[in-house]
Amino acid sequence: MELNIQNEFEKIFPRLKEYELTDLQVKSVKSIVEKGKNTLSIIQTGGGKSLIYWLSGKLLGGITIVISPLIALMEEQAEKLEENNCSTLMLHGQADKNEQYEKLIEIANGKFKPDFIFVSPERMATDGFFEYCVKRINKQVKLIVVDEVHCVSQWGENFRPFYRRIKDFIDNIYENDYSKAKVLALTATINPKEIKDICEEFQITTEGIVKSDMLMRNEIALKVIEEVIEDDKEEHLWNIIKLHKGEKTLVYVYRKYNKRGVEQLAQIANERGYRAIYFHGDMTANERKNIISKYKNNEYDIVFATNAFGMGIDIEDIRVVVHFSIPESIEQYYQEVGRAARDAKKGGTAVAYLLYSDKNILVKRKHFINNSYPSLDMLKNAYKKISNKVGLNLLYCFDDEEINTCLPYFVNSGLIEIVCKGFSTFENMEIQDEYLKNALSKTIRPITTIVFKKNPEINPKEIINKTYEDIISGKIKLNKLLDKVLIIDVKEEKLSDEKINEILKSIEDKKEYRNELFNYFVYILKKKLDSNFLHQEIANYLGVDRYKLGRVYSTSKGDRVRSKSEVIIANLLYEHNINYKYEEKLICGDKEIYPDFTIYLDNGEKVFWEHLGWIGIENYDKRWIEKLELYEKYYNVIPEKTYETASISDAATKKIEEIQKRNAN
Amino acid sequence: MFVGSEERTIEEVCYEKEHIEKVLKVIKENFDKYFTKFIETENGIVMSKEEIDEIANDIGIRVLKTNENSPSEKYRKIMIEAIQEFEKDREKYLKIMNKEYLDEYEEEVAFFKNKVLKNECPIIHSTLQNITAKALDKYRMDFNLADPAILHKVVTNLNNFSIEYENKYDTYKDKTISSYEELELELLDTDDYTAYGVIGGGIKSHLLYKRRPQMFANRSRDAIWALWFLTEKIIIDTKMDSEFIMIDTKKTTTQQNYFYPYCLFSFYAINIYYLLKEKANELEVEFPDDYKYVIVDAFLSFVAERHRLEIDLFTSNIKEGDRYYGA
Repeated sequence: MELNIQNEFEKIFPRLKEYELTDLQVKSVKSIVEKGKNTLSIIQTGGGKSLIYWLSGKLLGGITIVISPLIALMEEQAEKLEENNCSTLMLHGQADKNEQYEKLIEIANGKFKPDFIFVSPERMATDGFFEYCVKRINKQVKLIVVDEVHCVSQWGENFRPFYRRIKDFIDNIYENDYSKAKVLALTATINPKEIKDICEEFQITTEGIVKSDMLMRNEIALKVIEEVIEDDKEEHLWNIIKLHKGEKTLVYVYRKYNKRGVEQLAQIANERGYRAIYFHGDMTANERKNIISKYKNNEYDIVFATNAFGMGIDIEDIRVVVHFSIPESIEQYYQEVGRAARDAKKGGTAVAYLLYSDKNILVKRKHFINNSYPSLDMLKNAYKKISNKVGLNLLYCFDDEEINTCLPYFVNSGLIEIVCKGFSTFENMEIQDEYLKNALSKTIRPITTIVFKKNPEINPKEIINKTYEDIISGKIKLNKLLDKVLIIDVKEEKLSDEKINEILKSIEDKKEYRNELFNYFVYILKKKLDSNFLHQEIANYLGVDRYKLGRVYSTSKGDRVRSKSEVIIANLLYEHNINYKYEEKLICGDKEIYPDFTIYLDNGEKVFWEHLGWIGIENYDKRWIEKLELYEKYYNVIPEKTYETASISDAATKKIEEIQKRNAN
Repeated sequence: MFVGSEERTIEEVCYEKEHIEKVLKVIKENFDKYFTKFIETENGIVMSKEEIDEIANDIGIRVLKTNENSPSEKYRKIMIEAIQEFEKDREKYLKIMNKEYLDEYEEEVAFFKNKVLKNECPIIHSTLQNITAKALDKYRMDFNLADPAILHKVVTNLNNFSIEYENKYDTYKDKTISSYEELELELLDTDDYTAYGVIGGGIKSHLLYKRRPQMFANRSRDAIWALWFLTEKIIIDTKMDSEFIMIDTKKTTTQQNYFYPYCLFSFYAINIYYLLKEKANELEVEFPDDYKYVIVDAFLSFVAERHRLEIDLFTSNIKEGDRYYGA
């Protein structure tokens, strides 16, 4: 049954009924709810990703699990959902652990059924108890949302190892029956190989990819400045900041410390009388949250930030973005620029500067991209740490960056299999089960002893799941919360040359790909395009239909049209409450034409309106004559026409009055 | 050339006029194709059109039409950036290649070696610090064992040579040099100007180049490799492979010929300068003669970089204990 998505939205979220869902939001919800497809929604920054899963989750009923990389973002969403009468649960490292455990037990026992469960990727990847509880009630879990899904893919610069375990999590809770899962993957920026990777990972077909074709953020003026001399770049930065004094400014610098790092630049800015602060990934979640709040409330004008200032931060009125370091790809550039002018619908605009030198390009290529993958030494070290012996091992990996970075490569190459998540010891459990009690009377040492040594015929997953079940049913009382380990099966004692070569080759392929994306970005920058052409170039790259590239001007209705004169016409139509569509397809036999404006009168009649901006130019005239002939042949009409003159407003107003008269008749 | 245990020379034929003319001819024939790419890619910064088309195909997009910077603008920019890069650490070299300071250091040669050369001479410092390159272990060892007095003497001689050369420079700077003898640089290939194992052809030329980039070319590893590629790797008159490379048949290694005489190298370098200057004239770009070898160096580095994979393949066989730099 086809739903009226907007109506459903207003019913479920009456406090938000003034909000009109975009086409993209509607398409995404339909894809999940009506068509039942796993869906990848690619929506530009500020496009309202959250509402998609809010509405989809509520329409599907049951529980929606949202995997979200940022605690601040989770908290913000949870708060908003609670305000809209939805129940939520948050599971992450900084929330109260005991309370989380109690809630999970209630969920597993059916006593608590939150609409939305927010979980961090780290928690999802490492907490066996959480997974077990979810699996127990898997029929109630109707939707799994993966926010910032580009982090899943190793083909991108934002790959996070824990994200790679989402698929296993889904497989485990649905016992490998993927047809039961509905997955909604959300992102704003993603390159073609990442799309392919993610679609394979989450079984998303082409029909399930929902993408905006209005990706262009023309309300942001793009300025690209190439500096020949590196020192001039800093001088230019201060000039820009001075020029935009008092405006909310975000400066991207991909360096935390030392010369020209975020900390130093913020200090200099403060010395120069600005209200500035820095932001980077080494700060605690609370520190970051505090800065975001103060920036939002205008206690700071300028933030010098690494790309940690990114995902999910929603500040409406950033007016200036400056890239002091060159981004790695068009996707990253446009995503970061897109932090500005989130109030575009209310008329907000912004300016974005990119300052770069050829030296920056060389450094980016040689160091940032190529060094972001594990080296041979790191792989060897990590494997030594992981592989105690061939066979089952416990892995306490969560604070070891080397292991976290390398583990996905070992898993991909078949060197290591992750058997299950679990815990390491039965200490601090009050156990009533006789079998376990008996086994434990011989030792209370880690599960390795119980299972691996003394009972090798037992699948560790079974005993772990049995323990979880007993915790849920109350047969086991915990005196202390369970720790988190992975139980892995190590296939080879040492890293063979063959496996090393296999892994290094896969890394080389990814480096090469990222270098390609970066080189293409550099190529675009070097073209020295003006803002509109640069937007078009980016839109072309991001897959916008070529035909739609010229639509750069925004109208009051929210359309994008090709010229300022068409903006005038569209806005006048909108002001006069005349229903119209811009460039709506019109079939003429075996051909298609696209009238500039198709106006729908109340009596059902259509009026076509063409604005002939280039009349008098040979090619244009030729095309116009062909179009006119099609109008006459198939619709027996001559469209309304306006021309490019200084009095286009008056001409359009007059035409609209005539149309209104027709409408009245 | 093939390497025996301690050979430090090239075949005599390499010094003969006819041979040099043949080498030069091949270099000139290949110059244009590299120069075109040099400009098109802005010295390796941007991809060439073919590479962009390939990337676009791989990513799955269609390239929109382009506006390009003119070749003149690109050439000008390359030169500015090369000079900028050159000047970055030049001050440090000028403090070493300074007569007054060298005279003072004569009383403290150990200090000169262990502080000035080791820590303040960028090229020596970075070579010593490069602990990942096992082949440089030999250099580190040689440096540690080197007699400080000899090191000081060699650097002083180089500096004096440079000062004397400046006095003659005006007489031939506008002349078109047609033989290596006219450059009068043969002395630099003698023992007085070499501290074997520590200050060899590469480092000595670098010290001179940093002092006077209009007079002395930088005979770097990449520059020698570049000459090999510019001559299409062919053997011209020599009995044992190209004069620009060194093959050790026992250890099965191939390297650039780090014994390559500076006087000969300089002659090829000045001819590349002539070619680059000619291009500048065609493109109506002013060529900075005071930094002529900076531009030559940029071009030769570019040529080597175009063949980096091949060079890396050759040098990956060089193991610990092999001579690698500064012989």
